[in-house]
Amino acid sequence: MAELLLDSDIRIWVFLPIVLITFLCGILRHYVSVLISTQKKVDLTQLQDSQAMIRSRMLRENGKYIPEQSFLMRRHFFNNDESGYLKTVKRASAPQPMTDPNMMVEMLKGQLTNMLPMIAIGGWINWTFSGFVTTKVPFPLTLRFKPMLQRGIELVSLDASWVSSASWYFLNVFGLRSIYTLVLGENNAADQARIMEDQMSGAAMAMPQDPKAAFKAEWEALEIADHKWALKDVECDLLQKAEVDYLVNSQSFVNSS
Amino acid sequence: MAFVWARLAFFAGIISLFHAGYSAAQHRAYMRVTEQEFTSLPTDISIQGFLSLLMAMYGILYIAGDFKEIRANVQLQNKSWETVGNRPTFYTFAHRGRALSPNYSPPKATRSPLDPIDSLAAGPHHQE
Amino acid sequence: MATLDLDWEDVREQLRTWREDNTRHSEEVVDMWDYCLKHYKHKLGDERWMVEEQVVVAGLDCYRLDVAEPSLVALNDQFPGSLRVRKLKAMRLEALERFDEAMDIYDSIIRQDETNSTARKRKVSVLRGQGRITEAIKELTEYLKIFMSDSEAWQELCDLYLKEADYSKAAFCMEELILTNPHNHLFHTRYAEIKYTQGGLDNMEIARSYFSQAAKLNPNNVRALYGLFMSCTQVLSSSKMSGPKKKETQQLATWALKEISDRYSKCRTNTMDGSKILETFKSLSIMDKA
Repeated sequence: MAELLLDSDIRIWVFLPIVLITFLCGILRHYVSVLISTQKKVDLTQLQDSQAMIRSRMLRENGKYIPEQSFLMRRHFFNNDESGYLKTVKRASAPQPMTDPNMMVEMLKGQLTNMLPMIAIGGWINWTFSGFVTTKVPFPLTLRFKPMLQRGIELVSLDASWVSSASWYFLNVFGLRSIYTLVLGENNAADQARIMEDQMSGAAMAMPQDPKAAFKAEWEALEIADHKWALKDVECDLLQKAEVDYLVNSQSFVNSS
Repeated sequence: MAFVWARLAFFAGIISLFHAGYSAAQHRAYMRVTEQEFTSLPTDISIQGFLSLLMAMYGILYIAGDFKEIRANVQLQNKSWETVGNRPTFYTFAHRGRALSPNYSPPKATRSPLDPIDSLAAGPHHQE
Repeated sequence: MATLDLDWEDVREQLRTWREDNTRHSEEVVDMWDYCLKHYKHKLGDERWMVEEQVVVAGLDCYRLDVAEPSLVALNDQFPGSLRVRKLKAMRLEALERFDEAMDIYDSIIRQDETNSTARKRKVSVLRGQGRITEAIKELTEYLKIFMSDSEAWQELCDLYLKEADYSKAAFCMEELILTNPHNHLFHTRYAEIKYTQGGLDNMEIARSYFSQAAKLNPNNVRALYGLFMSCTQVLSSSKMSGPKKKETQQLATWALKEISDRYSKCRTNTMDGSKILETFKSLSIMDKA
C-alpha cells in the first residue's frame, strides 16, 4: 500500500475553509433564527392545565406523606364525579396543527433557517471543493466506510481511512455540536444534527398534547392510587434508631475505656 | 497543599499518558519499518499507560471539587426556616426595618423621572 | 470599613450564591454593592443586570432608595419596555407606599401578559403591605386556582392564614408544601407546629408523628425534638391509652429530652450557655413524672 502525501495547499485552501464555513454558517443560522423566531405565547388555560397535572402527579407520588384525611380530601377535589377538577373542567381536543396559520408560519420559518441553507451551502461546497482528499482518520477502517467517507471520489484502490472534501463537510456539520454549545451556550439553534433528529422523530412528538386525554389518564391513575401513610410507624422507627445509637455509643465507650 | 499535589499528579499523569501513547505509535512504526509482525505492546508501555491513567484519575478526583452527598435530605439539613421560608416574589417593603434606613422619612408625594408615563397621564396623585 | 478591601470577584460570587439560594440578606447586598461592586459593574458582563435587579430589590427592602434608584435607571435604560423592569418600578412605588399606583402597574402588566405570575403575586403583597390580609388571601386563592403547583404561593398563603389564626387552612397549605418536597424536615416541623397549635388529641398525635418525622430526617433539628417532647407530654396528659402505646410515648418523650440536653450540654460558648436551659428542662421532666 503506497503512502499518500497530501499537498499542504489542500490544508490551507480546502480543509480549513470547510471547517470555517460550516462553523460560521452555524453561528449565522443561530442568530437568524433568534431574529425571526417569535416568542412562544403560552395560553393561560394551557398553563393552568399543566399546573393541575403537576399537582395531581405530586399527590399520587408523595401523598403518603400527608395524613389520610388530607389525601382523600385532595383526591376528592380532583376526582369527584360531580365536582372533581379532572372531571368537570372541559377542554377541547388537541387542535390540528395544519389548520392553525400561526403553526404554519412557525414551520415555514423553521424550514427557512434549517433546510434551505443546508442545501445551498452543501451544494456550493460540493461544487467548489469537490474531488479533494482532505484528511485521514487515524485508524484503519473497512471498505464499507468508503461511501460514507469518500463521497465524490470513486477510487477503488484508495484506503478507506482517507476522507474526501464533501464527506469532511458532512462530518463538520454533525460534529460541531459541542463547539456550538461552547460558543453559543445550551439550546442554540445552530446545531443541525439535533434539528435533523427532531425532524425524524418529532412528527408525532411535536403535536401539542391533548389535555382531554391527559386529564383522563391522570384521573385513572389517581383513582387507583391508594394511601399508605408513611409516618405510621415513624415513632417506632425513631425509638429503634435511638436504641441502636445508644448501644453503639455505649459499645464505643466500653472499647475506649 | 493537597490541592497542588493533586494538580501535579493530574498533569503528570496526563503527560505520561500521552507519552505512553506516543511510545506505542513509535513502536508500531518501528515494527512496520523493520517488517516484523506486530503482536502486542511491550509491557513497559502498557504498565506506563495504566499507571499514568490511575495517577490522572487520582488527581482529577481532588481537582473536580467536593463530592455531593447521595442522600437527598442532607443538603436540606443545614438550611433553616430563614432561607426555606424566604419568598422573594412576596416581599413587602412596608416593614419596620425601613425605619433603620438613614434616609427614611414618611413618604411625600413627589415626582421623579422613574415614575412610569402611564400613571402621569392620570394626573398628579396625592398621598393622603 | 471592612468591606472596602473586599475582592470584587468574591463579592460577585457571594451575591450569586445568595441569588441562587433565595436568601434575603438585603442589607449585606446593599452594602456590598455600595462599597465594592458598584465600581466594577462594567466588568460583570451580562451578569450585571441580574446583580442590578438584585440590588434594586435589596435596596427597596432596606429603604435605601439612593442605592436602588440608580440601578433601576440603569435597568430601565438597558431594557426599555421590559415587563420585569416595569415590575421593579412598581415595587419602588410600593416601597414609597404609593400602593394604588403600584397596583395599576401590576394590572397593566397582567393585561399585557396574562400568564405573568410575578405581577399577580406582587398584587397579593401590595395588599399585605397595606395590612389588608383578608383581601390578600382572597387574591392569592384566586391566583392558586390557576397556578396550582406554585409552592412559594402556598407558603405565602399558609403564612397569611396563620396571621388570621385560621390553623386548619394553614395546615392544608403546609400539606401542599410537604407534597412538593416530602424530604424537607422544615416543612414537617412547621406542619407539626400548626397541628400542635390547633390542639385536640387527634391533632396532637399527628403533630407527634410529624415532629418525629422531622427529627428522623434531620437529627439536629432541635425545634422538632422539643416539639416532639411537648407533643408527647400533651398526648400523655390528655388520653387514656393502652399500656404499650403509653410506654412508647413516654420513651419517646424521654429520648427527645435526652437528645436536647445532650446538645445543649455540648454547647458552652461565651455568648450561649446551655446549662441554664438544661435546668429548665430538668424542671420540665420532673413535671412530666409527677
